[in-house]
Amino acid sequence: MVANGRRAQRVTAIGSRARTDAARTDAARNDAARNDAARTDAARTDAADAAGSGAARSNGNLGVARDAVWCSRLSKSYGQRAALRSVSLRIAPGEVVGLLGPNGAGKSTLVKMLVGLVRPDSGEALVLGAPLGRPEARRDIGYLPELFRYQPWLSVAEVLGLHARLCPLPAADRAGEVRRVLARAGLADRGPYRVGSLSKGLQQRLGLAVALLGKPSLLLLDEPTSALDPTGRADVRALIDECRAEGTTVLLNSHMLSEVERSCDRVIVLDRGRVLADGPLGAWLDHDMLRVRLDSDAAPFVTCLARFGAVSAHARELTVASVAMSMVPDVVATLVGAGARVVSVEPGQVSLEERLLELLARSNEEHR
Amino acid sequence: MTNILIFARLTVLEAARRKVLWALVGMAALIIGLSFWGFSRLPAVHAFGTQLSAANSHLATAQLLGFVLFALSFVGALGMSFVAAPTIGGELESGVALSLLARPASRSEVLLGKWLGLVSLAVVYVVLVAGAEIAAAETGTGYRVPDPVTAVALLAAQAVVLLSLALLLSTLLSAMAAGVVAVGLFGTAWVAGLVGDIGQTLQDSSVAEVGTVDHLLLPTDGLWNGVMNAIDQTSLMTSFSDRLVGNPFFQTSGLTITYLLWSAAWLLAVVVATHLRFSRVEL
Repeated sequence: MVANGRRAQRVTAIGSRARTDAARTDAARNDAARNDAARTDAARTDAADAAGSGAARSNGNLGVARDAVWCSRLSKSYGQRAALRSVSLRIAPGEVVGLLGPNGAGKSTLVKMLVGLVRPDSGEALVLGAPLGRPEARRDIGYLPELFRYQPWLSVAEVLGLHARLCPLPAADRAGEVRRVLARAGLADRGPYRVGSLSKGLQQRLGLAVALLGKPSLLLLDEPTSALDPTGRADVRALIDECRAEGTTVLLNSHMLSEVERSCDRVIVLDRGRVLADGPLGAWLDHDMLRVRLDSDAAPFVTCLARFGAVSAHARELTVASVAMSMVPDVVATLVGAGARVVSVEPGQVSLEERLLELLARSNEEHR
Repeated sequence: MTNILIFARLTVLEAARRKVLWALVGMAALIIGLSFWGFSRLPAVHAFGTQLSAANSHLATAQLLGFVLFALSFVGALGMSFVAAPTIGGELESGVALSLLARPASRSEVLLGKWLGLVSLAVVYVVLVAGAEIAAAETGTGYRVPDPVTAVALLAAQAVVLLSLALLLSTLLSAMAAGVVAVGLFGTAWVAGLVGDIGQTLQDSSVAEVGTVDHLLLPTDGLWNGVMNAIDQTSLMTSFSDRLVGNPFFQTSGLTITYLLWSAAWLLAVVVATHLRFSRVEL
């Protein structure tokens, strides 16, 4: 019931964002235009970063110090392979941002760059106001790596004690903080266990506990639920909700799109090392979509519906994205006028997965 | 400084938890026990039906002591190489380094901490086992090592040189390869030093230079010669120098200050190179 209640609140929140977005934008804008807008957002970020970069140089970083993360034109190559190409983005304090993209898109490279594990070939970035690579930039960051490995010969409590000293937390606070994060990660009774004896899922919970030590201002979670069972995934979602409530900035790199859909305020998509799209989650999800079933092959009728929005055909079904419900009679009339026999008309909503796949498919086409 | 001590303690703890310490101590105890039994039997040994003279007995003791110390240093070299190599290389490979290096500790603190932990292990190991071995020789035969402090210090320096090399290699190669290469280089340096000694015996300068170059490139064998010089009594050097020239367990000349300074500079250069390399490692 609690989970359903949270979900209902979340849906309401998305709905309200959708209404705001609808007020700002043309109701009849089509899918391509929306993607263009997302790209334009990224381009706008570039322009802002160019200005910010100048500000950073001339004003001692004061101009961008308010961002939790500020990156301008970060690039990184491994030999001939470009992992990041001129990535610019900003994350405001308290935002929960999903980082999406296919394998090899550069997501983990970007996250590692933010904690100083990878150095950019070019570009600038500030994390919590400090330049990349400096130890002080990592002072208030919690990081769960995708490859979570901890000393197998230490106990769970000893690993946390080690990280508490490295944080560094005051000696008087360490024991209490270790107990707090153990409980928060669902490891309250596992303190004395050797790390090597834990299952993969429990080791990932340990990674979460390590990341939460000292209540960091910025939490970088790289595939935080890859080894977790459904209960563990629900715990991570609840944890992100708590972090949001406490004002913690979260960057969530995940292939679990349902997680991103439920937890994030904003989504950044990377592909081939570039920012493909960057925008609020509501702008991705809260658009009306129409599914029209015909009694014959749908492909010949794609063209006649193009003026209503982005149209795709699959067997006997047509999908019209971003079409206002008030336009449904016109859609049906157009189809009938073109000789189609309409079996059913069903309103729907585009999922994050559908939107992401569509965006990546477009990107692939452009790179052919 | 706090972070350096944290990583030093972690390195020592790892060696203890992974039972490396106990393995080293166990092997050393076995070698020392057997050699003590040998030393205690030495005064009663007869050569060609006659009991050994005091001078010959001392010579045999010094030679046996050198041989056992070499065995101990080899066990130590093997142990330290295989402890030092995974300390950085293993953590980089396994991913353990990801969460540690994401903490606000500089890479130089991480490196110095690990190096300090390894140096502590090496020094404690060498002082305990070499000290025990020298004491065993004196207890068993009455042979008093003329300069035990220098002998132990140079043996410890040899271990530190080797573990530093293993640490540098572990930032360049896989942990396993780094361990193998470090031990291989230790053995090669010892053999090259031996070739140099043979060159000196034969008074062939080109062969003798092999040893000189070897001692400059990797000071382990040069320092070993210093250990041998420190355990050989002056009377032995006077009496047997003609017959023992070229013997790797007998050295008539000690190390020069210049060579000690060179060894220190070599060590510093390796640590700096390790730092430069480690600070550029990307995960």
